[in-house]
Amino acid sequence: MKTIAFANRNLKEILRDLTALLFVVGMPLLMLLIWLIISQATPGDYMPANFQLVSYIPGVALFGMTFLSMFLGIHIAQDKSTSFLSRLFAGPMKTGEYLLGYALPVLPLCIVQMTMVLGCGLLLGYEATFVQLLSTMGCLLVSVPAFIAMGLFLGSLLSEKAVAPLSSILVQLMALTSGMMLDVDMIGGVYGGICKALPFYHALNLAKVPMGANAFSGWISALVVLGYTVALFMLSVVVFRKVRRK
Amino acid sequence: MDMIRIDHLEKTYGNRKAVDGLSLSVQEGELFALLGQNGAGKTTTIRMLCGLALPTGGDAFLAGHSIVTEPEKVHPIINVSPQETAVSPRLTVEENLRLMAELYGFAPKEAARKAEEMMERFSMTDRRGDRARNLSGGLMRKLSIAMALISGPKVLFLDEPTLGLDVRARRELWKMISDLKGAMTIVLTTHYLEEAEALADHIAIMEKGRLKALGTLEELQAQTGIASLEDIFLSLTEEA
Repeated sequence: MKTIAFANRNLKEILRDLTALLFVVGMPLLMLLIWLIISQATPGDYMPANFQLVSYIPGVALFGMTFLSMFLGIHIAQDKSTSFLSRLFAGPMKTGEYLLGYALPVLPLCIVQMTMVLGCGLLLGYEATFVQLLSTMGCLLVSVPAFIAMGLFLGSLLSEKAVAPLSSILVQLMALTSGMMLDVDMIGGVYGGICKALPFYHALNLAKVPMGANAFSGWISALVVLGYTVALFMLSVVVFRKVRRK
Repeated sequence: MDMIRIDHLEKTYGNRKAVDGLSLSVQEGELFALLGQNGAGKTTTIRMLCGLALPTGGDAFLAGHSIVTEPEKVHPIINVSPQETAVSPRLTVEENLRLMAELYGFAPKEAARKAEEMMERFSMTDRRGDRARNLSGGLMRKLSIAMALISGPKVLFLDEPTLGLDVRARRELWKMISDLKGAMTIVLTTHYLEEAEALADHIAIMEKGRLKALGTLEELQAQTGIASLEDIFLSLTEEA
């Protein structure tokens, strides 16, 4: 009950922040608009593989999740900077209940965001059957906890001033290492190695499986993403406990 | 009965002792004022009693439960109104109150009833739908105290509750705080000595982490031979 009450509070705080909502809704739509402009100016044969809709649409959905992750981190850091969290820390909630209360509201927001992106993708020509769409959403949902955990970790660790600039690095990493902007498999080398060590490449790889990407590599990617999820949640618990009782 | 017993409590940050061997007790139902200059250790003491900071030595017991070994038994019986703004800014007055009640374990219906009760008690019923960040300083402070009371704590910590308020708002809050005496144990920190004089049953004066004086106002006057609490405070805390 306490977790639900706290989650409700966090959901209201996020939904009532117009700037955050603008970014969360606006950025993915902007990415799709950019794609539309580029695609209209580029002859079909010259369109790189990673800019084909089958790859780009799940990439935009994941890109949107990094913004949600960033705003979750900012929200937690802002709470830490005020005495509001101190007053809650004096109360009977446990560390896990706090973290779950921060994490739960982001889940429906991710679902709404990815539905919006996939829906807009269909309008732009994303050719997917109903089953493929549902499967793509399912694969994207596997990555949602990882992005939530990133937000929890950064918000627990960083101050209010540091969290926004450092979280924006998360957004850059998503864009540059997932394969969304650059074809990681084609570049290879050290760059490819770094990308494959991070969760973003695997999140996108997993999301492309319903549209024909290698299923076995999808399973590997799912394991990598889940591994990062568990590690980041555990780190969040450790850091949050230290914040709670100095 | 001792509601709070502090036993050689210590808190060290690096080479600095913020609280140095503090020992005192607070009776059940009394209003206890903790005075001291900036850096005296008042807020650090409150933070340790609330479980927000881990002592580096000693212990304290609230209703018989140790803050070191039994913090999970201490948290449900305390509440705190911090010095700085401690409300959820985009939630309304009513939502903030209901949130605090539910976080302390009350079911949603009971939380709604308690929120209604607090809004009536603090004359905030007509502001129930206002977002907390749009309230004036005085109203925000009233809301903060209402959020601290809604859980029905056995021990209430008020950290500078009237800081920054105008004289009328301060007097209104004094009346509200005074009405709480007896129903719960209150620990109050303040820089306003007239506030301690008006409200406190017992007064403790801290300096550099140590207890310099403890007693009723009359006892302190008898100990020091000084009539005014302000002069008592200055004489006990002036540089050697």
